Amino acid sequence: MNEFPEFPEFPDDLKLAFRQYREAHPDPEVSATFMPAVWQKIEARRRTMGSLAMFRQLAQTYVGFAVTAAIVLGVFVIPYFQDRQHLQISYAEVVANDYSQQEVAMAFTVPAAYQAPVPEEDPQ
Amino acid sequence: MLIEPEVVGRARKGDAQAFNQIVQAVRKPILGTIRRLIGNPDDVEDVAQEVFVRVYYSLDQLRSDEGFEPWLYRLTVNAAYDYLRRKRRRHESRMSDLGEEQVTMAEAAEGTRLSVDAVRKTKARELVDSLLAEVPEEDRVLLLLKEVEGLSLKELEVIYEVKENALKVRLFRARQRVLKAFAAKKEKEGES
Repeated sequence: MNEFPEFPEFPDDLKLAFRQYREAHPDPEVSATFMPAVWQKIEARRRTMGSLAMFRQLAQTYVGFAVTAAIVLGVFVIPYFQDRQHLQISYAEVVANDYSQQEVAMAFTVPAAYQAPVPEEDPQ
Repeated sequence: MLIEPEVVGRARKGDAQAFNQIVQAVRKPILGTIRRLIGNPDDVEDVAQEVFVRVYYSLDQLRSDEGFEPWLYRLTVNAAYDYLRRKRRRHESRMSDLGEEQVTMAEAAEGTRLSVDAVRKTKARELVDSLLAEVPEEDRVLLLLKEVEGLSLKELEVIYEVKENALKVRLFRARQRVLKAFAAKKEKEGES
């Protein structure tokens, strides 16, 4: 029975040709080395897959290490050195940071009592 | 059914003997199918071995032990496609490496070899080969599976992982092309 009734049927001589084609190409005999060769290929692929798995493991370890190092650097090391930066600035800069400009001006103003006396002008 | 589902189950669990049993049971028909799909007897065993290596490493992806045979066919068809693609690439690169004169000589030599082969082929083989040469590679494989291997539409659905309608459209086009080529061939024979 035609599985595709709406499809054009192959004419009988073509159907016969396809049947003969199958008969003209019988299943070939299998060589004695077929099965050992299959197992050899399975083993070869296993080795390749093993090397790939090792490489993947190594890559994952390195990536894990890199991520951990980045976190440690970001969270602990960089802020630590940023905090230390204030030790390297001058006393005047520290004071300037800690006090307002007015307070700084007052701190550096010499009281009148300590100022050198101004020589009086000669009336003549 | 060539393989008992129980044997497939054991092979899936890693039983090497069960795997050997599977290969022994199906290798001959698989080699036959590959032979008809790729058309080159020299490379049939290589492709078949590749199929069984894929079977070995993909058995855990098999959904049910009962679905083994269509699944095996799918791996076989995929391996045959891979081989045909590789072969085409090699052929193209070989041709692109040659000069114009060399290409002409190579084609002439190929023609001579084919005609020598053709003499030995039966009339049916010549006819089907020439008709299948008129359709694209994918349709050729589909037609071989349907018309020569005798697979049902249900089996083809599993192999190609497509819906029945899509498959019918492809088969329809492939059949039409073959019929057209067949009509042209008959007309040409009538003229001569």
